[in-house]
Amino acid sequence: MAGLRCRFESRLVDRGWATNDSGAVPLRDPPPDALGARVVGAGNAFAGGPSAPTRILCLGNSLIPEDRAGWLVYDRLARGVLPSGVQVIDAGLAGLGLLGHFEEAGRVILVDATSGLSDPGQVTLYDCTVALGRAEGVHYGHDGGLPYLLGALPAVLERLPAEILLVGLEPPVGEAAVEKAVSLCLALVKGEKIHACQPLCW
Amino acid sequence: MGERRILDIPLNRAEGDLEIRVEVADGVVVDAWSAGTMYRGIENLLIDRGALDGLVITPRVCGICSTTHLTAAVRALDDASGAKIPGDAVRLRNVALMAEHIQSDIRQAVLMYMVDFAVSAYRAHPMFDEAVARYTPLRGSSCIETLQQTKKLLDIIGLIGGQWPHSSYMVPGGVVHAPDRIGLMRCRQIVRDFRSWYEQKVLGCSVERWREVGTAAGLDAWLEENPSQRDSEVGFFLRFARQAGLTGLGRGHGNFLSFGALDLPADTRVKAPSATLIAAGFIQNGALAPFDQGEVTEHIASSWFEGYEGGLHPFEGLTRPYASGPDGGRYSWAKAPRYRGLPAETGPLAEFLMAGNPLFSDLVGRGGPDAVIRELARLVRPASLMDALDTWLEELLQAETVELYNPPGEITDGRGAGLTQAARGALGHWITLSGGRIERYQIITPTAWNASPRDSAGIRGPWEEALLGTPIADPDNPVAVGHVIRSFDPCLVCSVHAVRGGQSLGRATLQV
Repeated sequence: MAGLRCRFESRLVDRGWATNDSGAVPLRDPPPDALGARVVGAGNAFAGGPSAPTRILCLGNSLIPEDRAGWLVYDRLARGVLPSGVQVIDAGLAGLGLLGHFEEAGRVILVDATSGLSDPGQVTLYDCTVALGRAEGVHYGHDGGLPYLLGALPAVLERLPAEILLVGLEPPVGEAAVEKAVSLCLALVKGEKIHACQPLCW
Repeated sequence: MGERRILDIPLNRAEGDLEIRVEVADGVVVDAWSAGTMYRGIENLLIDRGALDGLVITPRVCGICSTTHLTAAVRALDDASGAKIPGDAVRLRNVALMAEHIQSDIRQAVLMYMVDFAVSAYRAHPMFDEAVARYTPLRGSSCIETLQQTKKLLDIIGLIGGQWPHSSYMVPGGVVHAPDRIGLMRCRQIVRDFRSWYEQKVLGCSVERWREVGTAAGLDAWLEENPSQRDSEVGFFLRFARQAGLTGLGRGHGNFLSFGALDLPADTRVKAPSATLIAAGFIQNGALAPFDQGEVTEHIASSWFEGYEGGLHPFEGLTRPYASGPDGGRYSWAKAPRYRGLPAETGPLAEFLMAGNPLFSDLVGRGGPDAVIRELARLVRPASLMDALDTWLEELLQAETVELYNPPGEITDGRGAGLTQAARGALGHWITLSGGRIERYQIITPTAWNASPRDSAGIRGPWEEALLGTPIADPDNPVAVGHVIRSFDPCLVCSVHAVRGGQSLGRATLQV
């Protein structure tokens, strides 16, 4: 049985690992950008369009109930249709590994479970500006993921995204909270005016 | 003998939940217990799932070494199916794994280890002001440069794997994604740019000059050879650690283990004494023995699991949580892996010793391992990988066509061992398949080896043993305990991480 061969000039295989016995690999998704951000929508502004993309980074662990809010929102958004130039990414636990996804992004919307920032079951929109570059009380390691990431951005990136927001879901996260977070993300990427935005403070 | 007291030390900047309990007498540690405080049960989650599901689920075990878990998962399926991996697929797997290792090594050394040189416990150290200027979190010059330079390395995994994070491009029989030629050229440029920075700032010399350092005396001469080397990260680390009296801390059992990693593709220009660039082996009392995965067992006598006594090979292993509390001497959610019934430390130092590296063989031969030698090995390991990394990218670029995948056919029954080296040491996945479903899955991580609790014979795990004799100058800030544990690069694996309110971002008992 012949193996799969490819010439580098053409991209025969793309993301995903499903194969069949002939070695053929279905091209199931649009091509990714440098870090493979999945573009859900008709366009790919990052790849050559006139405007920088909006990236929705959904953080958390899909295997841990207390931490899967971001993944639940990702799953819902990835199944739907987003406006051109909007990318949604299952950011998982990558922490500092996500720095590259802030590069050349016009706007970044983080989605994550919160703890102690609001009432249980609440979905809250935060403006991350205050947390950018903040070093006090943050450390690199397991518990310091998002605070460290936001703290590092000004020092590491040549150009910051124009806006960094956090859609925070305070556990327990039920179906209604996920729906609300999805609606909030869609409203944000469609440019709807959102008034209830709080500063994110550690 | 003076007062004996017990200290419970939650450890921050460890990947996952780790708690160290030490008994202190006359100002030094006389006994130690290492407790993983969180049950995860990934193995049980995989049971009865489809044969390939581990490829998607196990990379989520850890946010830092997800590529390594993918590698172990696919190697277990390769082994079970007898898949023949095309050479170019081997190269692409290797390049991504090496990129992950190198970024992890530098981040751990600067952001997790040397950051402790900037804490108040060292206020009187003559190099303290410079340590603060270099390593203060998010402010220090070395901290910022490390973040900037390592960020680019992860682009390599994204380009090779088609996405980042959660790349799942490795499959039994090869890979199902490859970058185009421009992508490969970009990978090569990232590697070369990183090497330039690494040589200038981390080593202070070329990789070739560093490789000439073959003895302890040679290391001393290298350190004083010129200001560039003396002021490099390696030079600063050695000078600070020696003046702080860290030499000799964290000796341990002196047993070392490596599963080996980075298969050499056929017809590659990369040469190594064995079939893998990173050698496999086991060292006891300074004697190197070939590695045999059949000698691996896991004990649960001190762990919150039930179902068997003594040790079981991972193919027979059980993961049955048993939250008994402290009754029966159980104190950790980590099992106790053993090789030939013995505890063994794993990591970059073990890799260098398996390879017969003259510098590290000489350093360890003089008085055994310690926290300084262990961390030095991590800081300079990238130098041992960069030539092969560049060569494999060159070989891919020079190919007219590349072969990525040999279909192994449907994988329904059998079992396989997926062995590799993570940044922190030996990682193994053991899978048993029946009727196309996962019947049994066992994972042994590097930190399970290093952080293991006592085994059925009551023998301490590697860093429990390494903590003996550690001075505790200030019980409220036992910084030396941190140096010993972090020299093993602990990773109790990631799980719940959430944005937290207030100032409590981790249980920072060790002063930051």
